[in-house]
Amino acid sequence: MKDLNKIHDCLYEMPRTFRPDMKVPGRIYASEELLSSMDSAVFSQLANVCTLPGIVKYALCMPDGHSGYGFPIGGAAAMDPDRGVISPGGIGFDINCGVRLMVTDLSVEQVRPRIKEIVDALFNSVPAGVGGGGIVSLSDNRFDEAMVKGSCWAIENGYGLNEDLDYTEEGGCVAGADPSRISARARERGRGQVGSLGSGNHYLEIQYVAEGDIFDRERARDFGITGTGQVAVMIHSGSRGFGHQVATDYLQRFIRVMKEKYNLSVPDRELACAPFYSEDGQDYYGAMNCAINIAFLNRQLIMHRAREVLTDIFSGDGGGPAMRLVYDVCHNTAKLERQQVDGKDRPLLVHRKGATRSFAPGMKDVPDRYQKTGQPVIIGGSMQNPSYLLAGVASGADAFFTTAHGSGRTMSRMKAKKQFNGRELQKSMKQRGIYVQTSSFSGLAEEAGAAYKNIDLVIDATARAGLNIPVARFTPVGNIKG
Amino acid sequence: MADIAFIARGASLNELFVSGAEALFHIMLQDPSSIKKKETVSFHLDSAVPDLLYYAFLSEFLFYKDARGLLLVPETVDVVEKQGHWFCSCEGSGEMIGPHHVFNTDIKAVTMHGLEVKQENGLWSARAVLDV
Repeated sequence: MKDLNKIHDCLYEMPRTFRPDMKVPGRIYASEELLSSMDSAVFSQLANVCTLPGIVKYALCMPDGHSGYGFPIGGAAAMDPDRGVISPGGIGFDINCGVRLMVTDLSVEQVRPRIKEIVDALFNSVPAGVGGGGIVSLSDNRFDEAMVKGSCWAIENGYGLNEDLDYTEEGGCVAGADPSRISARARERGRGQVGSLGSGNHYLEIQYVAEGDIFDRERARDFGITGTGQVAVMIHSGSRGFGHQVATDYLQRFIRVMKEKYNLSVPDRELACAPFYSEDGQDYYGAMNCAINIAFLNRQLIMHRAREVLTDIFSGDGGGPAMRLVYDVCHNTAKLERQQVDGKDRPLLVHRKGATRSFAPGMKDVPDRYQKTGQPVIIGGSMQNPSYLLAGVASGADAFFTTAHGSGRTMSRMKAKKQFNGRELQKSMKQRGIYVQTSSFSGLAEEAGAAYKNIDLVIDATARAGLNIPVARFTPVGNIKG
Repeated sequence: MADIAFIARGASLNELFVSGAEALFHIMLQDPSSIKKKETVSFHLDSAVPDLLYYAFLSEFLFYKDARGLLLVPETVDVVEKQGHWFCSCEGSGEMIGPHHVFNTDIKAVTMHGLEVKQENGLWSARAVLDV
């Protein structure tokens, strides 16, 4: 910390003098408490990102930052697309891991007495864990179609509502997906997992708004939050084996071509890169966009199953409960965006790895309904702690309109597994009013709340840093994990 | 923090590669011996350097897990260097994922972070970090 300059209470700068190969400074958005708890690898990884060709202004680390590989988790960097590189390590293996929030007109008083029935039904109908298959199984042609259409494929095939697309980042379908850039191996690895939760920190959670947990009434109303006790569904998942293989394929390819074709070198091979507009860069971009779309489709299919389960359980004379997607955000992407930098409008390739886009009111890609409120941002807590809904703000421009994505781990998975027992954790969560079903009790132990940072501290830091504004908080009552 | 790092060791590169693949299953499964040898698969890989060959080798087992639903354990591995290029032939056996396989965690990918294969005092070792 002694090598960092404090800019304000929740922003620290790593100057270029921190290391001679840095092209730009690094900036860490965090309170002093969060900063002091970050492991040392975060700083060296942030410095590594600062060396990437074409990087604009700063490399960033969000308040939930922790050590990753290549970029720190919670890392972001904007590149000049003409002079800069694209780096799969700045996106991650789980391309478009992301989260969506759906609100309902159910109350916690209705849901809590039936939470076991709800969670068990969800656990039986949403594939999770290893080898569970997917909600859909696609032929080659249909898989290509899905790579290009993303969530639109789901709607066209009866797995959702047209309006779901309005409330998904990129309309649930990012342009520039090129299935011809996808390897046979990625197709084979991904085809059988479309519409599956995955495992690890992925989840489908039933939540409610507790007393006192609406912080901005006007924004909450516009987002569809009607009041205390309202039940919501939050889904955290990504592109599954498909995205993992795309990332693996291109990481290996970039390592082969980086030096010999482009005379590039990086301090960490996980940062292997290619010029964005090179043939290799564009091939990866086209493939990455396919994976982004498959992840959107994945979450749309899971949400559709959740809708079906809740409708089955709560349908009465008036039909099933009303359910509305608030928004779906991406955590691991590289996107071409136009933003103001030093007063000039310019194109940027924004890498976000374990970080969330947080667009302000009035920005072009914010849905019409949210033009006054700003883009909804969803930051998930651990399975034992609340999650937050926030809104983007104009001051987020300083961070390329980027914010945190979760609590951030403080304890390694191995240590968590030694310290916690999955079955005991399930029992203690039940006693505290959270019913969880899991494919792996060992995996559950790894996800213990104590293995994560205090989400309230992370959210407070994002707000004080001017990255977003808190709107509401959601408390878990039920959860399925892979 | 969100990942798992491990070091594998072997008296030869062949042993090292087998040890690395076995480590994947020790990480993924409560009981790796629950994988019965019902099917056999062979594959061949090559790379300019041994650590990238090791990366490709470990990644292959993750591919079979997701693409074919097959938990594959290496039986024989042959790693050779010819004219400055590295080759690996592997015959593995295993079975389809079933209810008797109790998983601790799933592995998404092998990362390049800190990837290293080296020989010291006649013993080979390899370090890898897995994204879980």
